Amino acid sequence: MRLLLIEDHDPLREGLCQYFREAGYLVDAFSSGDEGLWAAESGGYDLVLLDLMLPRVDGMSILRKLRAMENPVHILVISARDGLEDRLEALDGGADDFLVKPFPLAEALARVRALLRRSYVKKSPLIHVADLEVDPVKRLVRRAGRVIELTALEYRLLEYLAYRTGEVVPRTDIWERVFEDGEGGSSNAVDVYIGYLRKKLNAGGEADLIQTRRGQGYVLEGRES
Amino acid sequence: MRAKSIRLSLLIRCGIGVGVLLCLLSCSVYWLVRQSLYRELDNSLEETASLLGNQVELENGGIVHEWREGMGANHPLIANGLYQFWDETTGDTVRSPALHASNLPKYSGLDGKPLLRNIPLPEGGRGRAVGLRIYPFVLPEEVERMKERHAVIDPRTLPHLLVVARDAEPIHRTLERLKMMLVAGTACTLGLGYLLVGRVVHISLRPLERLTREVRGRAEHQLDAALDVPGELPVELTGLARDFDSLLGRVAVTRQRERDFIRHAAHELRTPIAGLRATTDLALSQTREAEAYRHHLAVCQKTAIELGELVQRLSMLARIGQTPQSAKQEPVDVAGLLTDCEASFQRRAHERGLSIDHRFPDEKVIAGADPALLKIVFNNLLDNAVCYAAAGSTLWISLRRADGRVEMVFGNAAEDLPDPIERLFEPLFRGESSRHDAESHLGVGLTLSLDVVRAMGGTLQARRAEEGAIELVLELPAAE
Repeated sequence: MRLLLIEDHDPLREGLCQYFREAGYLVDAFSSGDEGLWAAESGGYDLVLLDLMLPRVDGMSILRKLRAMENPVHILVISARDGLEDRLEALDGGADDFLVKPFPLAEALARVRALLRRSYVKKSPLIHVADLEVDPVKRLVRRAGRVIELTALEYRLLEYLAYRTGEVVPRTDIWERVFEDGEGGSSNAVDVYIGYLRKKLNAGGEADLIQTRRGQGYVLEGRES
Repeated sequence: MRAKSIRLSLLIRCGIGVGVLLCLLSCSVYWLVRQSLYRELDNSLEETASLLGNQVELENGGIVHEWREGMGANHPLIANGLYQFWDETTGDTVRSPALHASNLPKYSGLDGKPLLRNIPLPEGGRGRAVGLRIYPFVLPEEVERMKERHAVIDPRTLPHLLVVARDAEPIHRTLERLKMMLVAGTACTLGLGYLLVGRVVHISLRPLERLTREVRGRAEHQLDAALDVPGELPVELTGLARDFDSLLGRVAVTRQRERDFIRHAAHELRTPIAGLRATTDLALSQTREAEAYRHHLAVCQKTAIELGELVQRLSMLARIGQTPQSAKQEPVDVAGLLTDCEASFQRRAHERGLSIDHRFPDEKVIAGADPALLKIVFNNLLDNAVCYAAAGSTLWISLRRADGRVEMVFGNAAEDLPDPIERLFEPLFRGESSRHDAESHLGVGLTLSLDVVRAMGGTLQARRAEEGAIELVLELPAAE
């Protein structure tokens, strides 16, 4: 999952960045409104964390422009403005949630998870695909009751596929949402990591849950026997 | 000290006023009646004395009391009258029959002129008497006879003293009765007056009581709301209510300023506190290397310094609004003061490669302002212009007088102007290029300037001059 953070206060931006990265998310951060708007317009993010008081282009303008462009990305507004009018203006302007500063990072993370679930129409915090269980809170994966040890990248890949269960996920989407910028390699790395995942998920001799659609991408789904 | 009651004060004052008026009126009535009664009595005494004075005749070389002969014709006067004659030559005296053997006081005015006075009557009781000197009356025939006898007597050599008295008790009784009536009338009028005045005062004070209830009933959260002034409020109280409303208006402004201050303070403090919280949350979210903790602590220290600077800005903001009452108006040579202020910015302007274009008229332009406060405004505007102008550009300052106002324009090329541009005057607003220059730009300069200019009866506005340029327009009342 790739998040976009637009916040001009350095300690807060850096703290949020590191915290979300340690929670397993990819985070792109910008300190000014114009750069943040440019990044958001380019797409490729699952969620935007947006401050309202920003230099050059303020947060409300970014919010309105993205919604005017019918950009569907979920937006979590983080602001020092706590007045009812401010919250109503942001929510009516297209924000999906509003978090007043200061806030615990754990709450910000929980709200991000909740918004991601809404993005992919999930109600339960646990994602089940056949006998596979993915727990985004604990970052834990089980198959048939067996805990599967995954690297951070493998977990991100599985979580992304799990959120989009039943959908054919293009390799470019996986490349954008799961792989860090500047990690080198190419989209072939997607195939390599899909191979690693299959190996670990199917280690108990279970059926392969990840299907390859030639020329389209991959789909995670439970096969009907 | 106990507070005085308006009702009691009005009652006492009205009572004293009415009482004094009634006493004066009663005394006047008493005095007029007394004067009238005494005048009537005195006239009667003088008429009797005049009548009796003509009754003493010089006849055949001796004095004849004619009134004794006329007793039958004027019996009541002769029989009941109290009068007495004294022959001043011989000392003989003649009394009216009613006096029996008693004497009346013997007196007359200066040179024998009639003199009225109160006397005690011989049988007791109070009387009124007139005493005068008379001379015997001489008929022309008697003069002829004295000439024939060659014994002409001058009546002025035979002076007599006449005192006529009357009983004054009826007058005194009448006056006593009148006095009682006046005292009783005054007392009754005063009593009734108190009741009536009390009622009138009570009715008159009702609007004041309603106003008082309105003020007393004001809840704390309504302190700055205007009074619900009763429609029939008397004109004497309208001013008070208006002044009170004006006071409430000032309270409202102060409260709004406090609320704004708290809102701005909370807003400004939240972001660094959020940064502090994020850093500590992150540091404690898992076990880390010592170097990582060191880094997080350094971030916390930087944020704490930032918070300290914020507190400094908030302290300055809290002081905004305290200057207007001290603003005074005096003629100020605007161009002269501006030139003085510019001197301290020349070095910084030079360092940034800025030049200043002056557009001043030839004649002096005088504004009505407080020179000390105007200097603060000029310093703030020049500081902003020099700090925010694009490097190497030209600042322009124009000055003109029009329609009784003095207009000054401070212009400079600037990037990143806020939208709307009035946000420049928001407390703690700073252009992003100065975000890390908290020492020189605290985001309160223009707010403070606006407050000060308003206190001097002027205006301060910002406008976009052209693409990438800003003008701050300062207007002040002109002075001769």
